[in-house]
Amino acid sequence: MIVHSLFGPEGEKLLKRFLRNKSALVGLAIVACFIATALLAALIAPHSPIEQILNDRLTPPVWLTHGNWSYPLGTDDLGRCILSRLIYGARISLMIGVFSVGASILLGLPLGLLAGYLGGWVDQVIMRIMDIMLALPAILLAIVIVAILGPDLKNAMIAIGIVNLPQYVRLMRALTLRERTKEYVQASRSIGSRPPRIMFKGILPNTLSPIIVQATMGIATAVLEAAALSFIGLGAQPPTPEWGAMLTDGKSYFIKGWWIMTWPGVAIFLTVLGFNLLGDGLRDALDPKSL
Amino acid sequence: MSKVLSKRFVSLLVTLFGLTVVVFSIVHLLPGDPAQVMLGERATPSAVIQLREEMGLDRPLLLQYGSYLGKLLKGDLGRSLQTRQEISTIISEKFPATLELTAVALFFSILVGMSAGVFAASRRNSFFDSAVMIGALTGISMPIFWLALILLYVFGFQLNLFPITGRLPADLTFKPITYFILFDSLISGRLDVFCKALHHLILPALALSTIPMAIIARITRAAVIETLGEDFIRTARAKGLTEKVIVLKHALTTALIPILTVIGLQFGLLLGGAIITETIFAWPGMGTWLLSAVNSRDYPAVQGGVLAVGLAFSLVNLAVDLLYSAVDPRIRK
Repeated sequence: MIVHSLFGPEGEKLLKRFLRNKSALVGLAIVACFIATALLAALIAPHSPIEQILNDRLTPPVWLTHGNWSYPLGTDDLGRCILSRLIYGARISLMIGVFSVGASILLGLPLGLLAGYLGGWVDQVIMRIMDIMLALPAILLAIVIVAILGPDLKNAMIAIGIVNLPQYVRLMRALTLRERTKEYVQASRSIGSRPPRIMFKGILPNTLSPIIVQATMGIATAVLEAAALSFIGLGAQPPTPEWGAMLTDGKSYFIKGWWIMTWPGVAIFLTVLGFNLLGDGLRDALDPKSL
Repeated sequence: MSKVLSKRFVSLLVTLFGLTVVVFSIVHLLPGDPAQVMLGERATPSAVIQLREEMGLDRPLLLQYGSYLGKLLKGDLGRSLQTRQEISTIISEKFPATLELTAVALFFSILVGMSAGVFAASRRNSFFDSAVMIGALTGISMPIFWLALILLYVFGFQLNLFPITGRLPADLTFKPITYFILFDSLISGRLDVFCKALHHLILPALALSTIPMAIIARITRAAVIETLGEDFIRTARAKGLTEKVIVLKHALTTALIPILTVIGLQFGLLLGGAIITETIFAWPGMGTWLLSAVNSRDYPAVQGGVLAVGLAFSLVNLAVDLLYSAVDPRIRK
C-alpha cells in the first residue's frame, strides 16, 4: 500500500517483480549487511583496526587451537584484529564505490547526453576521447593515472572514476539517441524548450533505470579494481585497513597464517557478488523484457 | 567491405594518435620537475640536468612531441632508466610471455565457458543449468589476485603439483628464439622444455581465465537460449533432427556472433588481469615489468610498455570488429 501511494502502480509492480527474484534478494541482503557494517563500524568492531598488539601476533581464528574469542577471525603479523580491520575495510570499500561511481556518473551523464543529443562534431570529439580511453585495459589505465598522481587511496578512487567513465558516456549516449526521436522530446522542442531543459529535465529522468543498474554493477567493479590497485601497492597505503592491501600483507604469511589473506578475499568476493546479484535483479525488475 | 575496412582503419589511426598523446603526456603530467621525480629526491643536480637534456625535457612541448613521434615511427622507444637497456628490446622479450599466458587463458576460458554455456542452455532450468549459472556468477565476482594466491597455496605449496614461479625451472638451460617458449621449444624439438613450460603456465592461466570463462559461459547460454526460441529451430525440430544437431549445428552457429564479440572483448580483460596475475606468479612478462617500472619511477619504460599494450589491444579490437562484420552481413551496411 505504502509503495502504491508513493510510487504508483508501476512502482508496486516493479517491487513485486523484484521481491519474486530470490537471487536479487540475496544480493540486497548482502549489500544491506555491507552498508550497515560500513556505517556502524565504530560500534561493532571489537578492536581498533590499526592497533598493534605484538604479543598476539598471528593468533589463528577462534575455532583453531590457540585461537580465542578476543580475535574471532585471528590476528595478522602485527597483532591487529582481522575482524576489526575487515569491518573498517567495509567503510573504505563503500567510500571507494560511492565516490568513484559518483564521479563517473557526474561526468559521464552530461557528456553522454551532449554527445547523443547534439551529435555532429561534439559527438565525434567526446566519443573519440572515450575510444582513446578504451584503447587501454582498465586496470592499466588506472595504473598509469596512479603512477602520475602518486599512490594513495584518494588517487586510486579518482583513477577508477576516470577509467570507468566511458561506460557511462556510451550508455547515456545510446539512451539519448533512443529517446531523442520520441514524441515527448519532439513536443517539448516544438513548444520552444531549450536543449539543456530537454536534455536534463526531459531525457535524463526517462533514462534512469539502466543507469541505476549500471551504477550498481559499477560499485562491484570499483571495489574490485580498488582492491587490485591496493594489492599491487598503488592504492591504499599501510596501515589503512583496505581489503586489497590486507591481502598483500597476508601474501608473505600464507604458510604461517593462511587466515590473514583468506578473510579479505572472502569480503571482497561477497561484496562484489552482492552488488552483481542486486544489479542483475534490478535489471530484470526494471526491464521485464530481459527475463 | 572495403568501406568498413577503411572506416575502421581511420578510427584506429585516430585512437592510436590519441594514445601517443596520452603516453607522451605521462611524463609531463608528473607533479613537479619530471627529471627530478624520475631520479628521486636524492639525485644530484648534475644528474637531473643530464637526464633533462637526454630526454629533451628542456625543449618546447610541441617539439618534444614531434621528436617523440619521429622516434616512435623508427621503433625507438628510448632506454630504460633502470637497466639502460633498449625498451623495444625489453618489450620484445616480455610481451611474448604475457601473450602466451593470455592466449592459454583465453583458450581455457573459451573451451570451458562455451561448453558450459551450451550445456546449460540445452538443459535450461535443470540442476546443471543452475550450477553453471551459480559458478559463472561466482567467477565474475572473484578477485583473481585472491584466487591466484589460493591456487598457489593449495596446488603449489600444499599439494606440490605445480611450480609456483616463472616460466621455466631455474636450472633448465634453453635459449628462446621468439620468447614464445611453447612455440620455440616445439620448433627446436625440445619436447621436455615444452612440457615444463606448459606445466608452469597452467596455474597462472587458470587464475587468469576465471572471469572471462564466467562471462563467456553466461553470454553463450543467453545467446543459445535466445536462438532456440526462433522459428527455424522449430522447423529443424519438425524435420526430426536430433537435439544434439539442433543445439550444436543450428543454434550455436547462429548464436556465435554475440559470443564472438564477447570473446574479443575478453582480450583486454585478460591483458589487464595478466598485469596482476603475473606479479603473483613472478611471471616475467609485461605486467611484472611495468609494475616494477612504475615503482622505480622508470617513466620511459612505463611509456613504452603502456604504448605496446595499447597498440596490441587496439589491433585485437580491430580484428574482432572486422571478424564480426565478416560473420554478420547486417553490420557491413
